[in-house]
Amino acid sequence: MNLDALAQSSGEWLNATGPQSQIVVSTRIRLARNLAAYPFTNRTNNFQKGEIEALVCDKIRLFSFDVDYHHLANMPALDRQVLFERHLISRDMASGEGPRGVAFNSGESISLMVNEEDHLRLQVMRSGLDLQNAWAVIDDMDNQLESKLSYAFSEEFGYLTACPTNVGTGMRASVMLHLPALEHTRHIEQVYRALQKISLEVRGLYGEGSRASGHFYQISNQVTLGKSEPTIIKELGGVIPEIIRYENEARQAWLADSQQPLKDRIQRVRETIKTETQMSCEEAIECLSILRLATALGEAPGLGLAQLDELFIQVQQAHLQKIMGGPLDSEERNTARAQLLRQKLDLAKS
Amino acid sequence: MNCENCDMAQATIHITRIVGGKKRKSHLCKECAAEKALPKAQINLPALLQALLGQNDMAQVDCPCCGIGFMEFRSNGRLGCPHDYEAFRKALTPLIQRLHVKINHKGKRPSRPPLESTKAHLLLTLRRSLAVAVSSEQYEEAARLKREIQQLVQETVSHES
Repeated sequence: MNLDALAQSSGEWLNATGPQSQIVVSTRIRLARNLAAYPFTNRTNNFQKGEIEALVCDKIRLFSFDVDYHHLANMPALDRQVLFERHLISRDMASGEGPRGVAFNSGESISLMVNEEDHLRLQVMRSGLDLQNAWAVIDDMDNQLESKLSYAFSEEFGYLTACPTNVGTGMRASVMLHLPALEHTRHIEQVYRALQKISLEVRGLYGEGSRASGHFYQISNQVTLGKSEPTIIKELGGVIPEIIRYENEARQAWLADSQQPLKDRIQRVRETIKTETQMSCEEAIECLSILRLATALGEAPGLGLAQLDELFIQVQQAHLQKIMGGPLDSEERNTARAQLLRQKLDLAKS
Repeated sequence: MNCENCDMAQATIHITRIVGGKKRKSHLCKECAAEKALPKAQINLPALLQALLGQNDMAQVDCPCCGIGFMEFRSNGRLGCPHDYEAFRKALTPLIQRLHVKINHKGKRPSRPPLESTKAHLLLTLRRSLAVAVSSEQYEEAARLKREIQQLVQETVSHES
């Protein structure tokens, strides 16, 4: 798989065809697994990491899923950054050292990280709100692997993980929501509080420790032990329609607000994209976020959610350099980013 | 009054804000107030460990398989090997109870029997000894350990390869 070509498009999970795509960008489930007879990754040396990598590569050849494995140890830093920006590897894997890698399919809907914090991190991504199908796929992946590898497992603690926050099911199910209106009305804080009370966690666009840039929020389960996977999924899936309802109400309220009219904001964003010759990543994401909201509300004819969701990835620095065909310094990136948005959005026509 | 955000610490910061013409009061602990503007950060495990576990009789306990000391786990929040769940059981149990619903796995389980724990522990121990032998340039010992590991792996071939 050519990583240069990868940057020109987005994974199938970003095609905005899934349920509730106007607010729910994607659904992700990951499972953490470890081999029983090796120390956890933070205690393995490079020789052991190499053995684990070889063992897993050998097994995924028998996978029914068509995946390619990419070794990260000798991969250029820019390519690793591209994989991180596409949510295929974690930040730690991109910046880490030693034998490690990721297998993923051409649609990037399934991936398998090797030698992350845990030996194996299986991941399934789906467009929109689609927890049940994501679980069915990842359960199948997991069954195929565990029939060939000996996982660290205890009847009492479940699947054993390097961090006790993941022990048990090893599962983190998360739903990425676009909540610009709840942020605008500041009701997002109430949503945080309500979710925390039922042990759900809210994170930013790039998972733990990341900010909620572009008004994107990942909501995921915190508890991984003492509940079955279907129960965790049901509980998470049960609250999402409520959040969607609040966001929809807030969107309508914002549209009707004469003090801070949404239509004026959309128009300002259009002007910014048409006229600015330099744009930081944060500014671009803010503009795209408002256009995503406008598109979902039918206020931006000619634009599509999938087109905008792809741009959220492409305006990031590694993607931008891949698209432009070479290394760019910060100022050049800001110029390239403004140019990319002007070209791709062609707002004069919309 | 407990913090309305974490419901753990005492609320020491009281904020009154006017939102949409209505008065809203928040009662937060110092830590939550500092984090308030951001999405809830991931659990700060080392801090939770410090608070929950403190200095106790686990300070001298090392895992016989991977060699990690309990204090090392306490400072960075990451265990060294699967056997640590047994080696540090006494201290881990309250922590895991705090983090999760209860210590009673209810999720899926591997469809085939897991690797016998004595064999898994022996392999972990041998791999650690091999790493030590290699780093101290004891190559004869390293070769012997490698053979022993290979033999054990072959005996459990359906599990390991």
